[in-house]
Amino acid sequence: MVTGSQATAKILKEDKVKAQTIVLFVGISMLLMGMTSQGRQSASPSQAEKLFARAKPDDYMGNEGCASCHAEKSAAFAGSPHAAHMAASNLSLDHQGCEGCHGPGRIHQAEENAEVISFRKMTPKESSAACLRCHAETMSPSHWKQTEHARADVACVSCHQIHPDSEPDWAPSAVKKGMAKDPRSALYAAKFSPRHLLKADESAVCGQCHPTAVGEFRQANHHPVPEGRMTCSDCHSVHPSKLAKIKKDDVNGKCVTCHVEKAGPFVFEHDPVSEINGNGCVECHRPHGANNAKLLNSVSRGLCAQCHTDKFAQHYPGQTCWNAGCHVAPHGSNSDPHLLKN
Amino acid sequence: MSSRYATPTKILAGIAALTCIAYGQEEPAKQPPAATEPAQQAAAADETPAPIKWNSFTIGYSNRRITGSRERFRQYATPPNGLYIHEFELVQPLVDTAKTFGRFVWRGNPDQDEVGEGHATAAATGTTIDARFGRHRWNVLTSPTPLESETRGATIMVNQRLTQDAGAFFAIDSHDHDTNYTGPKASRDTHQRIVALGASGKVGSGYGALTIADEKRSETTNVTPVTMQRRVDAGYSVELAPTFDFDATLGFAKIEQNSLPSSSIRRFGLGATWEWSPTTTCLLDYNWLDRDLGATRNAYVRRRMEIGTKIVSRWRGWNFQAGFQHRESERYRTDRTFVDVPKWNVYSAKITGRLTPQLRMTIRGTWDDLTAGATVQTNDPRRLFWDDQAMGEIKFDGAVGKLVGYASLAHRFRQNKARDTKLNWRTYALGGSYELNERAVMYVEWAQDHFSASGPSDATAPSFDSYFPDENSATTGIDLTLSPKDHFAASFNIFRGANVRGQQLTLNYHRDLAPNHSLELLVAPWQTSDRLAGLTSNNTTSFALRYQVRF
Repeated sequence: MVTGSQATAKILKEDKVKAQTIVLFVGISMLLMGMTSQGRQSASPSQAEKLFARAKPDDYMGNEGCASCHAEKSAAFAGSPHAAHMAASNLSLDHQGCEGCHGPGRIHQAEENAEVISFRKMTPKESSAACLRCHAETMSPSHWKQTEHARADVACVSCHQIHPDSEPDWAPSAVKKGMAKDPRSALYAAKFSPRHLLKADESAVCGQCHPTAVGEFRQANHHPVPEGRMTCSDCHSVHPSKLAKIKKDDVNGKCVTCHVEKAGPFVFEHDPVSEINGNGCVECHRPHGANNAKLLNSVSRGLCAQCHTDKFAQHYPGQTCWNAGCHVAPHGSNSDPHLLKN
Repeated sequence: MSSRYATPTKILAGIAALTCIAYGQEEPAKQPPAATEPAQQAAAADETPAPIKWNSFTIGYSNRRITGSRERFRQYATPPNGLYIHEFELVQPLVDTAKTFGRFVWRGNPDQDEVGEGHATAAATGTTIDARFGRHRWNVLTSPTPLESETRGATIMVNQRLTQDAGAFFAIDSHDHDTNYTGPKASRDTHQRIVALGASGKVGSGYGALTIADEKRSETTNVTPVTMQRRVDAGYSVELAPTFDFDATLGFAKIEQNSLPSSSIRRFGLGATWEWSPTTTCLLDYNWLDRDLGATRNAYVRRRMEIGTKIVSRWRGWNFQAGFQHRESERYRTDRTFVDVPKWNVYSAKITGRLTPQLRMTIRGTWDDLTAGATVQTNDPRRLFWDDQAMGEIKFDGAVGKLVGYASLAHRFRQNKARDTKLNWRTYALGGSYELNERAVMYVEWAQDHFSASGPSDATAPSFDSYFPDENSATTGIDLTLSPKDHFAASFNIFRGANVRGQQLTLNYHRDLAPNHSLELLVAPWQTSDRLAGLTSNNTTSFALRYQVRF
């Protein structure tokens, strides 16, 4: 049994440990900073940065100049939401229209040192750096570098299609690395259309690299993605964005965005399975799909007995722990410490 | 003619009439080049492609026959029945070609599942307004009448450019989920509303961002009282040195719930990206979280600290990652009684690269190791946390000739030593497509989840392992281009579990009648079998005919 003074002492000790950790981290960071500034003097700027750096105002020719050779592309791009965002008159020349992404037209046409930013021919790192020239306002290059996709050399244009008339790198109807488009979707009226300038609807885009997740949606029980009522980014924050920032939940993570009644905080939390301390909802559920009801990892009392092993025998009412009418509030309760009532 | 067939006949007659009009108005179809006719191919390549038609209208007729559980068939959504609008999509500039964009989509019928989505963007003198809305309504068939459920969402964001390198935004986001069930499960209407204000831009030599958000959540079952959450988040990222990016985040949230004490949450984070060389990067991460949940009376995580590093290196097309994270959680009650400080070390690694130009391999793994145990003050004092949680995966994907495919094996392991419980979960996945010829592609995919568990036992019950049934799913299909105008696709899905089995055959025929006019026929016999009780078994055959015009 821990007494009050022991507890306070322990808390103070823990606080001290954490304070030391912060100091250690900041110290190491400053040391590293110093080392890097003493070492190599400059990381090479990206191709886009170099090109825009050498551009003079006269090098920009405007959309009309581009359209004289690329009429079809220009016309199609005018119907894209991206065009609307690049048309603001107070944008600087290097952020406007076609040249805002591809670089100054006259440098592209120059007889010597001609250069253009071609996103398909660049490395993922260079290509993403070109996009982040403008999108750094919501997602700094530093934030992008820390995402799983950036680390795996996935570029912005791997998923997004800026020109609406460009053919995506793969045909949505055909299988390449896993069936992208679930054929069952065709049966339903509800479906998600491509948005955020994606190459196809989200489940098809994500399914190209995540085929095992696509397989899970084929199970008897699943979140209604094949039926078109949900899509991947309803749960997954692929990269930082303004909307993701304002929609984040500080208590129980992403699932409660829809399952509001499980958001808490509760008077009696089921803390060991909370997102903060454990695996969160996926401690018990398989969110993509499962053959078990309620997308559970296992059936009946086997689920709770993974942790509450002492309740496996001699504590079984004949149904699941919650369906039997006992622990009806497994996600947390405002009235009962044993989660027997809501 | 019986009245049963009157409606489809009228639809077919209408489609035929539209087709005639289409053929009358449009030039003969420009056929895509056939691979066997090089001269024709060259001629077609010289032609300027017709402008893209962005708008579309698709009308359909659908019918189905169901035996068995209609509730199960309509578990998530209901395919249309009778005459319906499959899709009406308008995509076009609203006022000014360059500065506005609008898109509106409507699918379904008012008395059936229905979807409406819209998106409008307008930009003028530094202001950009972006508005999105979506409404999904679906019917879940319950005896004696179908119950309507609905989700509605709208987001309006106004961005204002303040200087060349800074801007501000104002956003309102509102979401309603009204889900209705038959008893005893209570129907639930939830509402969320977020109002946010923020600014971001260049501050000094870095980028700063500040967001203030006010969120309200409510739901009709009163399981969770009306909750108000006010949040302030700030972040700053800067390139401190040419090879060293640094960012810091700070957040505060106050949560107020009806008739309960309020809660507050504070968070602080530091991150760094240090480029050791053009090919090697080191990521550093520190996060601290403090939660004062005023209402909570049992043990909860009051503070959490995470510190970690990850090294990412690229060498000859290979990507190597190795990471380590240390995590601590302080748990104590609202009365400040100390409970425990469980600690974890998390190790992770990933290697991905190409074995050959066509074949990529990925190996990854993580291991969560509980290094300081938790105290449990219940009748059974053995701790409830997993001692070890590990995951390993090896995956190959690539192409060999006309075969494109992947194979993956993932193994997950959890164990609680104190309670002598082990859970092994292995996932096999294999799939790919093969181009039989220029007009035919076939594909096969198979996945299996195999569970193996050992733990508590009960002489009167099945073994612990039997509560973790294996699962299988597979799909196979073929996409055929019968002619430049005719396409056929067949897909066959199977899923198998301990209790529920199902198979779904979906046949789809698509014909381009004229440029921007097409016809689609869909037949889908599906079967679900509930082997345990039989209550949710059903056989369903759906039929749909659709006509699309693009304009």
